[in-house]
Amino acid sequence: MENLVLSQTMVSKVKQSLIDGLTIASGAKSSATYYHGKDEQMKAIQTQILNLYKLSKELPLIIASQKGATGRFVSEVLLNEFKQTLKGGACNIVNPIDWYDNGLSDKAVLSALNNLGENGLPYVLRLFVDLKNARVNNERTRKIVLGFIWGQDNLEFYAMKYRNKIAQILRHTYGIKKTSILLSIAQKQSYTNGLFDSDKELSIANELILKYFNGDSIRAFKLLLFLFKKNGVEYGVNEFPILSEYQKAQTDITNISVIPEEVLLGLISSVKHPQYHNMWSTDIQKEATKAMIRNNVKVTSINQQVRQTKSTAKLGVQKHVEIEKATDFLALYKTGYETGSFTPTLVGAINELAKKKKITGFHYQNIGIILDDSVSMTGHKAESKNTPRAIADFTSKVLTESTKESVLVKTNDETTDIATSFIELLKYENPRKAYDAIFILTDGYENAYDGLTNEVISIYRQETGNQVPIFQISPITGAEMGANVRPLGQGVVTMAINNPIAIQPQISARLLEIDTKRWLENQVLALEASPVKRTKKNYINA
Amino acid sequence: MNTRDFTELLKGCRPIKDSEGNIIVQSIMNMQIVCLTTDKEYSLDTRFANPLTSLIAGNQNYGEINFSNKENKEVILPTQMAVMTKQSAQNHSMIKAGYLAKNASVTYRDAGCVQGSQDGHFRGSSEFRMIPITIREMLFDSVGKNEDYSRTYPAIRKLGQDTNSNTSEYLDKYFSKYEKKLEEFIAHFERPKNLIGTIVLIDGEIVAIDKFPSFTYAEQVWDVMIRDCYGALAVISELKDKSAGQEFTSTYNDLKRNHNTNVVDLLEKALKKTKASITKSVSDKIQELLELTFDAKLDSEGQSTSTYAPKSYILKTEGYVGQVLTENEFNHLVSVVKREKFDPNALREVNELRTKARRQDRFTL
Repeated sequence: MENLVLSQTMVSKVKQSLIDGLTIASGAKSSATYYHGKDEQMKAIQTQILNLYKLSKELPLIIASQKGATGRFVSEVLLNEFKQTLKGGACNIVNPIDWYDNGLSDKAVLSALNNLGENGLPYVLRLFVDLKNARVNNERTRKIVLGFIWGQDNLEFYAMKYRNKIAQILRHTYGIKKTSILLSIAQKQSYTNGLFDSDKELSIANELILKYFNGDSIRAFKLLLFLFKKNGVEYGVNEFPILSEYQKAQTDITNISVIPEEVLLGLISSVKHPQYHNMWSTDIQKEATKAMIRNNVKVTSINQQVRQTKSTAKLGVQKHVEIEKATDFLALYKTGYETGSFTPTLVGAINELAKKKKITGFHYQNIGIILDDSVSMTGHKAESKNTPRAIADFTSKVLTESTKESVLVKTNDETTDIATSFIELLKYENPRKAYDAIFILTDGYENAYDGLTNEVISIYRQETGNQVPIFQISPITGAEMGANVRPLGQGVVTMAINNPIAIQPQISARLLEIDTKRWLENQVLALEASPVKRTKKNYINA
Repeated sequence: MNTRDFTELLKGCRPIKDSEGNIIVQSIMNMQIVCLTTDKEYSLDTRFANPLTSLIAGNQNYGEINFSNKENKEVILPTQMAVMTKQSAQNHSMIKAGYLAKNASVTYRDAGCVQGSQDGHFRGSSEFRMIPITIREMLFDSVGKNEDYSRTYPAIRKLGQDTNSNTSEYLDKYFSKYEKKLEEFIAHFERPKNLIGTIVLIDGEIVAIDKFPSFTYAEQVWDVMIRDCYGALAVISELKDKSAGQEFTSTYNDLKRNHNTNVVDLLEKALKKTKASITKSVSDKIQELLELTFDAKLDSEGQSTSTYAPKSYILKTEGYVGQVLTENEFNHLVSVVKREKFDPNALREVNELRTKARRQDRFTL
């Protein structure tokens, strides 16, 4: 990579935009928050992305490639990038030769896409459906979409689970005419055992499917026929263990174990299913059928099983859940809140998970933590109940695990009284070993009284000369703050997070205030070194 | 006509305090809220249905609202609830609180229009909002008067003037203009557990007191009360550029002059002193109200005539106006506001004189 082309006059503009962008990327979700409707929240995210893009087109993608960026933010960045086409927008940071000709642009897009995929496949599929809704189908987008879908290792499972969505995406990507041609070729293939009628057909198949797909053509075409609901295809147990069981479930849902619960419920709830009248037509039958399915299905993830704790008990199903294997902290917390009991096993699982999620090489090793436990942290009817509280509590545990020494203080009155907790934290400070950072986990809406914490912190700093970094970590962003965090006061660094994983990148981002250009250079070098490709088979130059 | 003492109206209630005995005062700008609680046995949690979800409103004439209670539980209508519908119909507002028996249907003929010249009647609507507290006084004053559907217009015009929202007689214009701000305002206040009532202060003076039937009821109406009702106070304060002031900083600086202790201890002392000072100030203001006695006039329009149903009384005294829904001396709902033009200093002088009078010995030789 050549040197960055970022000019000195641009640096100051870029700096603040990057900091704001990182905060939003780590905290802003698509859902409504305690304070704002979904539309307002989305508008704030989109505005920020457009501002970043206008400044320089690489910025949104650099931020979207950071670990901890929310699915919604990454999705919006990619949608914006695909809309603008490859050559759209100004390239003011990276040399355009590197960006366009040396493949950096591709790597940035694919890194962001992989980052989105880490949030779960539904996030990526939703983005691809958004592309359809936004009528985006340029060559680069098309190749990336096809590379992603046909390159999935577990495509058989995904084809069954997200059948309609994937079909919808492929129909948009190929277009109606090409889809029809591909289906025609696929249907002939099933009779000719993999032989193509003509070179032209082979060429079409290669261009549109086979160069993206890891497997033989017969398998690819059978999957295509399944996705588009073409009948008359046999799916052998050995070759297609999932699809063969799915075919069986279309007439008999008993003893099905590798099809997800929601798919089975979808099948049986159709009046056309042969077992509908015996298994789903009355409330009693429904409950019994749900219980049977819950009992039989073996492919439910541990996290989902944890989330189902309450409903499993309601269905009267005895199912051992290996709770300690859960990786979704929210699922664990929600179980506690929903069942009204944080059992020792549950608390143990949360603590173990916090240990596993600890931030390695954390910048600070002796910290003070203030955890806002006030009522507003339980969330609002517009937001998943207790989500902010769960994020804040788990973050405090992860911070504790990530440091050698820490002191935790919780607000303990009916109101958000951070000032009292701040002083309490200072009283617990080891006089021989001062805190090297203080973290305040709060929504930022203090009310005893508004601005009190700012006064206390200001006086403390002024009187002691202690400039210990104070980070305000909020599980809630505010649309009135441009999807940013409502700050407690001056000199308090704000961060929005939806997962503790977002803390380290954000702290690193603060370092960019010292040397913005160097930080950017490191990010671009990291992108350059990332081993991402559009397909697992070939590199395609669009 | 009979009378009601303030102490009797709020019997069973007490301000919520922190672990150090300070009254918890939540503040934003020049506005403060003190939350009240009561013992669990005085919170009638299972008796009343949610007023925001159990009622269906309709009307056939301007100046009236009919409420149908679809629940098999009684309902206490919150003070001055408005029907702000998307239907092509004139929005209406109640001018008081009310009571509905289980599955009952009640028509209040002393309601008012709040949407200028819009015509049409609504039906089957559950689109409820609360009237901003700053015009509660004018609407209470209209209770029992022989006025028509336009009885609410002067209050809406006043709201428009106070909030620079050019409402004319259209309440929806005010809500449209400040919708986002009011929504954000909810987040500034926290509803404590076991809330039974609130006392609201502006510039250190009590301007409103509300007592609800139960903890559950308070939870159900909290967001709407904060946003629609009390929110107007914040809107007006912001327009007047009012702020909370830096009480802690000045307290700290005062203490610093006389103490030679470490900074953290001094911060703690200053914070405790600040909180104690806020508590004292609020306590003093509440104390002043304890002497109040209201004239209570039975309000019968739309209210149940059953011997066993709660009765509605309109409360008036110098400087304050309100309403109580009471049943066998148990007050389900109390709603009192300070008259805007009333200067509490006048009351202070009266109280001072009254206290002096009490201290005086009876005449003797």
